[in-house]
Amino acid sequence: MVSDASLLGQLQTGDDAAFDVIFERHYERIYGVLYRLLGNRADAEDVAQQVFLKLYRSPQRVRGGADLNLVGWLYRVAMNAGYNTIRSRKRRHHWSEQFARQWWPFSSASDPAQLAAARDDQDRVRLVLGQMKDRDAKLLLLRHSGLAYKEIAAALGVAPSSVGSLLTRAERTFRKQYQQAFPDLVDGG
Amino acid sequence: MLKMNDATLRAFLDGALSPTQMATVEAALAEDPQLQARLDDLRQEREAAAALLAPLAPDTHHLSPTSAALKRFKSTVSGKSANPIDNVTERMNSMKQFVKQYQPAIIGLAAALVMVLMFSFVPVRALAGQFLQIFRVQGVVVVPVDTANLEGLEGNENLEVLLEQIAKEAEVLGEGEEQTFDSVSDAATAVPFTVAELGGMPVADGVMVSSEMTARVLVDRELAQAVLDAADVELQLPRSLDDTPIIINRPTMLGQAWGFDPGEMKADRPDDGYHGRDHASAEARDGLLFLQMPAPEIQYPDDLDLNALGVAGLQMLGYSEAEAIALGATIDWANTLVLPIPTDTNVDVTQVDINGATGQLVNERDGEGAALTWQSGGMTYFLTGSSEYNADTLLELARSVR
Repeated sequence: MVSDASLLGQLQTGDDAAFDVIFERHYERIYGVLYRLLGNRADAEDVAQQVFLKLYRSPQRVRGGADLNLVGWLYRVAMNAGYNTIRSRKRRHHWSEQFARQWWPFSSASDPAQLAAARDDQDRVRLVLGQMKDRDAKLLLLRHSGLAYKEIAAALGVAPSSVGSLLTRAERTFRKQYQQAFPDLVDGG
Repeated sequence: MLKMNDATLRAFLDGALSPTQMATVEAALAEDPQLQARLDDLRQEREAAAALLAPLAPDTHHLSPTSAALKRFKSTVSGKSANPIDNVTERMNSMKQFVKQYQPAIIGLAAALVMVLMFSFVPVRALAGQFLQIFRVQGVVVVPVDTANLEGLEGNENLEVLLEQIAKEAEVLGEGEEQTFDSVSDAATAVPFTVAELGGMPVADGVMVSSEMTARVLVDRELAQAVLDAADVELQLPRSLDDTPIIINRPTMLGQAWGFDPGEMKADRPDDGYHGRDHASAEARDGLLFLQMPAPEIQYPDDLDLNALGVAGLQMLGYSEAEAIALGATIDWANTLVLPIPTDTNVDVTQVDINGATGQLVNERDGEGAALTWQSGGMTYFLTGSSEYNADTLLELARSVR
């Protein structure tokens, strides 16, 4: 299998075929992360397209020759674009989103009414993630989307050796906050 | 030397250690029951978190096939959609983006420069939001826009990079926090203005107050100038922008909604029969939103030439210099919200009379939705609805405001 680094090098010299391979290799997982983040297919697909469009138009933005440089860049851009989409949603006051959805995913508020409005499991999880530090929330999303430690480290700019402890801490925080927000829905442990 | 701590054990559980390290941990576990117990605890913690996070994963109905995504990507890159229907859909979505952003809170200044540009770049739309609060709206002007020009802007990587950094300092005082109320009368105590109500409407299904938000933004003048230069717009920004912040104030806003979330918000509400409609059985798509707020304000350097800035914005939207100057001369840029509406989408914009005030009615031709905004007595009103709440109904409701 041709390495990501080689494919990136080919893409940087204008080889569109290399781009196709990169797309086919990474799209599904990028989409998976974004779906978890955004909660709907349309937004996740749109943002995933933006990520690959950015790569296609400016492959030179990915610096360094290691395989992980590309993966790290893709997920970093995906997470940033996903968060921008969420922030953008929060600013809109269009009725269909403001009221029908009740609260944006990843809303930062912890109003009791907001908690009550989190009607399903996805809403509840996003609500709690939204109350966590960005890095911790991203860490959980990336790991629980199946990324390896090295990939997570490259995406978040942390040392691979620290991912285990960061992940453990983030999961504890997540569970604790979830339990506080929805005590009736979580077992004591 | 590998430390037998939680980080190592967790990496062991996740198979993230090298083969040598895995063997070392296995040996340590075999000799140390406490370590084994700790590993079991960590495994349980991991599984508990995984169980809570599992609902986020896309189910089979929400997967996105890679082949279809790549096909769509290639269509985008080649500038044509593989499916004419997709093309229409994309354009409709583009238009809806504009309409969604069209709100009373959108009021801004620096923005003929910034707003139109921001709208054009997906990655910086979030930043654009900061500027959307800027205008002091006393009137609205609709500017037809050929979306082909926007697509051209979107492809300009240099502009995109510059725009991402154009606000070198931004401080928000008051987050515009939202609060829900059981009734308009309760909400009225939380707003510094007399609440207007729509005639003939039942009790709202949702009432929200978004508190005042003030933002202080210091523009990176050199970058902003570079944006203008890159767009071939001849305009010199004043040096006062270097140390004079733009101060944006979006006053407290009140919103009332009907027809949303019938399962949770309306189950206990009696149907009072507005137009004989059973609200309790309404779908979320069939709804109405009424927003009201005092006119937002912005403070900006005295020597910032708003007219020139506005004309520059029009040029960036694709108007020729002569057209931009002619159109710009008809607009009072200090207090007018400029609403760009794509010309090639399924939407009509008409000027309407609301009890003596001039309003702008945006209507989707397929009847999917409509929006109406007008200003009266120092207040800005925004009314939008879909399905049953069509353009005629919105007009009727707007004229019934008391």
